[in-house]
Amino acid sequence: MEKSESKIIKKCQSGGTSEFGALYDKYIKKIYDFVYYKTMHKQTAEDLVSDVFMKALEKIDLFDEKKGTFNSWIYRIARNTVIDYYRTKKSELNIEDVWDLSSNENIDLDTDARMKIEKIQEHLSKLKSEQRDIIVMRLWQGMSHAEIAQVLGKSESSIKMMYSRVMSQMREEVVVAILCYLFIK
Amino acid sequence: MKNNIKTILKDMYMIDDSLKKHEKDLIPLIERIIESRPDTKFDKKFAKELRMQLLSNTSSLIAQDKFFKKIINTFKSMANIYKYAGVVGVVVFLAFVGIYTAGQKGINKLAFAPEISKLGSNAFGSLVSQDGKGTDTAQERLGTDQALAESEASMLGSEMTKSARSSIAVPSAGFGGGGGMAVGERMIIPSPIEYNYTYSGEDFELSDSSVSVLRRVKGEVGSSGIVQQIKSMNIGIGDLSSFTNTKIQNLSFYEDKDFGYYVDVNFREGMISIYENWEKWSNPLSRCTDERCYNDNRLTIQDVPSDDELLSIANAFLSDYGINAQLYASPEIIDDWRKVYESTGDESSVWVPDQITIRYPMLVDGEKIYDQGGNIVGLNVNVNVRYKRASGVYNLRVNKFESSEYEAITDVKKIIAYAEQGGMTGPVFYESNGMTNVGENVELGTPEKVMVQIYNYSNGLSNELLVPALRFPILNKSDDATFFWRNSVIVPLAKELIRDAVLPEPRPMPVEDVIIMDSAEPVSPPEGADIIEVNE
Repeated sequence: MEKSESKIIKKCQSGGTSEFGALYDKYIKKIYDFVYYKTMHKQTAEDLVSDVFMKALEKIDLFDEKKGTFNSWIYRIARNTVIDYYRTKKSELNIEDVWDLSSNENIDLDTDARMKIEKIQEHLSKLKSEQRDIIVMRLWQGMSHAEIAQVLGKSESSIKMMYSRVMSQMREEVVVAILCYLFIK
Repeated sequence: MKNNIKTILKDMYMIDDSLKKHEKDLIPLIERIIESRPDTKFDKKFAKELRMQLLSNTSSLIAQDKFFKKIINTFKSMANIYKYAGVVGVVVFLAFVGIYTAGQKGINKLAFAPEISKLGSNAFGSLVSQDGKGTDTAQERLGTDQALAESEASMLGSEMTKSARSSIAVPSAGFGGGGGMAVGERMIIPSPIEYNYTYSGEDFELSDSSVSVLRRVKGEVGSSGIVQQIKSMNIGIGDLSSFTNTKIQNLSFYEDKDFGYYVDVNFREGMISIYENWEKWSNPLSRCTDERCYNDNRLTIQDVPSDDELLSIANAFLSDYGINAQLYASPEIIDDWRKVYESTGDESSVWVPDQITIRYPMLVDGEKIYDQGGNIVGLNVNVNVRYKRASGVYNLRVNKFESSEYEAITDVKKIIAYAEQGGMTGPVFYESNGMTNVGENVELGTPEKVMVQIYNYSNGLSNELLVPALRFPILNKSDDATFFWRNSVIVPLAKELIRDAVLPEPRPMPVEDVIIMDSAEPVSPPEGADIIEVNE
């Protein structure tokens, strides 16, 4: 953890009222983007991000830098907030983000996002939520394997392995899809 | 992007070298995923607003935490006293633990930062009180929370305050200014003066067709858990659990030590008042039985701390008790007494107040709040001049509001006409010299937008409303008119309030407020002036 960030967190934990703003400024865009990738809806993402930072503020006393970085801590809050949101909304335990919802369901999705993800939706939807998170964090957010590992509470090597398998799996699907396309044609 | 893909591929090959042979498949796959990244439409305005909300909540939360920790420590120290005396202390202690716990569960339980939730248009019904007067008068305001705070502030005065109340109090707008001052002259009842207001400011326009009116949300803040705890205890004098649908209205406690405080938590109004535990603030005047003793012990102008010192004392108190001053605008010292002091020929005859109020203007939605008389509304901290200590805090409130749109007035001519009639409180004030002085001219300058606090009475309940308004500053306040305390005229921008307003009528003489100082030398009254003596 950066020394300055560590200092800021310590100040927050000891009652520094204005210090949280520095943490917020650093993480708001990253967390918002992450939540958006899991909801594909601006309003929902904004509501959930508000909850994420409220929770972070309330629970900052519980943050322990010995157990991980603030980055991974707040990502975990964001991830759990999204999971809670969909589980509460759908009353189904296996729904963790918008990708888990059937495309037939009446869900709020930004139109342009829907169009943009059209090409990969089929592939990503087949992945588990955790696998998708790895792809999103690695390819859309440029996070390192180590950072992803901390967010997901796994070792770096296991994340590397999962990532490799996911890419391999997706490649196979693409190849199969192309062959099917050629065969039908 | 190609470099980026190369890096990604390199990473993958390090993990699984066999993937290299599939590179021609992997490259388009990775490209497709990266290209499919949607635009997240990150909204900087949203981020800014959330930041503001978080920071105000941070302040509230931490302030709240500090405040209640301090209170709990107080109770912890009291616990031994009550160990053998009964369970009352424990009950109260548990009650506050309840508050504290409630406060920890959610940021806004007792947050002091303004919080506004939006309702539909005209959601509060008529803004005009059921009595049809449109806005409240000072008398009507009594009985409301604000009035309670004010009356507590002024009535729970020290012995010196009692003395000061024997004189004509400075008609400042102070909330809890306490003390007041007295002039050692035989005073006469001030005669009313009808001022002629004339607008001399710049032209202005109003285009908004509606205004957002705020209504303060009150009611049993965080008290339900406390009631349950209290009801569950058997205190041996009755079965409290037999009461149903119970809520806590007030909780009070005091510090039994020198310069201790008395704290009153009003759950129903969402308000906390702190004032001196009078038994523990020694006042030499309370033992005086003759004039010499009073004169020997009375305060002089030299006893009054400098403005910087007053502000420093008030700020330190708020900080110590975790009350967040950052939620208010820059504090101001209420020093109407000083104007009287400086305008009096014989300064030794002026009674210097024992308490001075420092006001922290309340901010809601970034706007300052004014009362109908044009005085700023805010958090008030009293400083005891004799001991140079903060002696009380008034109007510390939960600022939770509902907002609703109401039709706005845009007719500038009507607004100016209303302002020239004295705005919401009318044109009449009292002059100190007792001379009939009708027709004094007062100039009103270009207005600024503010919020005015009014009380609306409906079904026997009073609602506190904040209504967007224009504040017209008074430009030519006369130095001679000592008691002409008004600084501005307020005109509400909700059309209904002006349309239905009954123009203010001259006020009655304040007979009960005017009391003669027995010790003062009589002076000849101005010719034609009536003298009324009131014996205590």
